[in-house]
Amino acid sequence: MSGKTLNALLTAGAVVLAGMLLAWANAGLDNYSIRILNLIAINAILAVSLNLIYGFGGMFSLGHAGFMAIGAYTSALLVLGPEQKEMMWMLEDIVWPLSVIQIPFWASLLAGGLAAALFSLVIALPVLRLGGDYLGIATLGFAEIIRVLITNSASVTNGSLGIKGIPPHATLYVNYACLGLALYCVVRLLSSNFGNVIKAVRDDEVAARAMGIDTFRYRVLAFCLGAFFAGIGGALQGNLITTIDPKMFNFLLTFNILMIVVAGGLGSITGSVIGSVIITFMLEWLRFADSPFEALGVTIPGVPGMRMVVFALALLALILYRREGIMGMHEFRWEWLFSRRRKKP
Amino acid sequence: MTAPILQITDLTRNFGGVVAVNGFNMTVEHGMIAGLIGPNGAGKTTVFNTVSGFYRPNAGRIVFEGRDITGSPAHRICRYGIARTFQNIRLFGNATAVENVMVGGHVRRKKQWWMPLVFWPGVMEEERSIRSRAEELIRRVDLERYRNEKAGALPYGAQRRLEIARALATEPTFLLLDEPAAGMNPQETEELMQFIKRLRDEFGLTILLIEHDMKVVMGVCERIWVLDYGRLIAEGDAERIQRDQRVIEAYLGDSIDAAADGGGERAGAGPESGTEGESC
Ligand SMILES: Nc1ncnc2c1ncn2[C@@H]1O[C@H](COP(=O)(O)OP(=O)(O)OP(=O)(O)O)[C@@H](O)[C@H]1O
Ligand SMILES: [Mg+2]
Repeated sequence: MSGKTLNALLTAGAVVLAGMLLAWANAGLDNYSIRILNLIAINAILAVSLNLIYGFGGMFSLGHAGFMAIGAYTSALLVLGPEQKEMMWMLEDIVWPLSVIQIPFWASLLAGGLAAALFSLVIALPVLRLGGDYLGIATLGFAEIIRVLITNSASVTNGSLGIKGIPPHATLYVNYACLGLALYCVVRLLSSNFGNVIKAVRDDEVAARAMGIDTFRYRVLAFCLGAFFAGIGGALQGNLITTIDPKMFNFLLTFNILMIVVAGGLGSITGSVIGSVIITFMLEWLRFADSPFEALGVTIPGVPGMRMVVFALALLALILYRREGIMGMHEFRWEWLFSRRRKKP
Repeated sequence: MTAPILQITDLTRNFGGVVAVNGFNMTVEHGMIAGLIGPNGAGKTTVFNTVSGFYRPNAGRIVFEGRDITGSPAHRICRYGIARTFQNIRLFGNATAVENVMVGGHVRRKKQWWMPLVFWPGVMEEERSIRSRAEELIRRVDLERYRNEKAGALPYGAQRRLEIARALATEPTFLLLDEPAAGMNPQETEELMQFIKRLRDEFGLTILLIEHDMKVVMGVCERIWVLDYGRLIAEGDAERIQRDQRVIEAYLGDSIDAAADGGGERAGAGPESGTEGESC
């Protein structure tokens, strides 16, 4: 049996095993644990999508909260029934096509991703010609503009009141199925020659152009693909929490995902997944820091926001001592686990 | 006589007050190995950068295979069949040698980026053929033992050859080499000269090279253009250039004697490998 077939079999086995684990978790775990598992899946989708833009595409983007907001709102607006929307919109009546449309959940997810991709295209065209810090500032501005737009378009988004009572479609299975699909797409694309090309554009744009690569086009492509998955992640989050409002999609959200990507390793999909597990757990576990607790016999009063301070310090330590993140630019390979050596020429 | 493969007419390019290339003319015939020489800062690399689409000329026309390519973007010019290397090697340092060459093969693909996702018919074959072609080119430039090493970790001479392999992967008809012998030892340089001739014959290429090593220039170039302060000061075959009084004054000086002595030493302000940084 060739190494490739063996790897494919191992991967298939891992997927089945993951499915069984999910079934077990779904039946046996309490709601709180399941919620954390859900967040891990969604954060992993978001981290992978940002990694595509920043880690592989080399575009420092701070617009993720904006893409998520677009995805979450699009999905929520399409999945809710007309009566519900009519009741909920109190500031202004909901505009026409939205007032009558209702589509299935899966279609609303796709629509959320596509809407985010469409918006990302609109900002990519002018902004991706900028490099480095400018791109960061421009995308950050974009995310803020989206938030202001949502707050002020009450006839579409219900403004600052937000949307409540979104049906909780984003179950454990749905979230992990979406994660699986996202991973499939991203890994498959990156392991085709497209992956070499996008990394080439990141590493040396001049050389890439000399190789006949329309670097701008590939940047736009990576950016929009990332935004697409960010939109889906946002849509899932809305359907998980069942309530969305503009305040949710602030910079902190982007920051958390950025930290997952950096901690996991820029340019490593495996790293983003591992990073989501660790950081999602950590963010939950650190909640204790917000309430009074005892350390070394001293009672430390709870300070709201302490959690983020500890979180930030932990990340600072990571950046100081392991800048390339947990995985660096490496990916998980079955060969590691079973130490099958690839013969070197 | 067939039409020339490349025709440059009255090419001018300035940077602020500096006129890097000034009314330059050049006609390269099919299958030729041509040389572009001149002192540091004469404008040689600027000619390459305008031909390959990185700089827009301020005036003049560049016609390649009968098509006016003046001001076309670099990636399109590569598609037309002009490939190049860089004076300061520009490999994708994090990628392996094979991956570097595969990037070069990308421009000739026919399938779209999303097709691997749905196992579109033929897409896997194309992926495989880009890889096997890359492996083949790696073999042709004798880099097999480095194929899975990171390009950035390769020895200097190997990096130069890898850059050429990567350029060949774009399936060019015209190859621009910017100081291919820079930083090579005499033995590597000797091999390079054979290699360049072989490239021309085996790939049916036309080659234009910039070089400060007169041994290489005189040894392989069938026709030579000499630039000084952006202006063409001489044009002709090796013998004629070596005897040209203006070329000797401006550039060659006593380096001819040095080359004749077999020392390969490069003297004074004359031929030597440029080390100053530049954008491309
Ligand atoms: N991007 C640029 N911006 C400003 N000036 C430039 C630029 N590129 C080249 N020049 C200037 O144009 C002139 C010609 O430079 P060029 O690099 O073409 O010389 P060269 O003949 O290749 O020299 P060398 O042998 O040192 O490589 C120099 O004076 C250089 O400083
Ligand atoms: Mg130069």
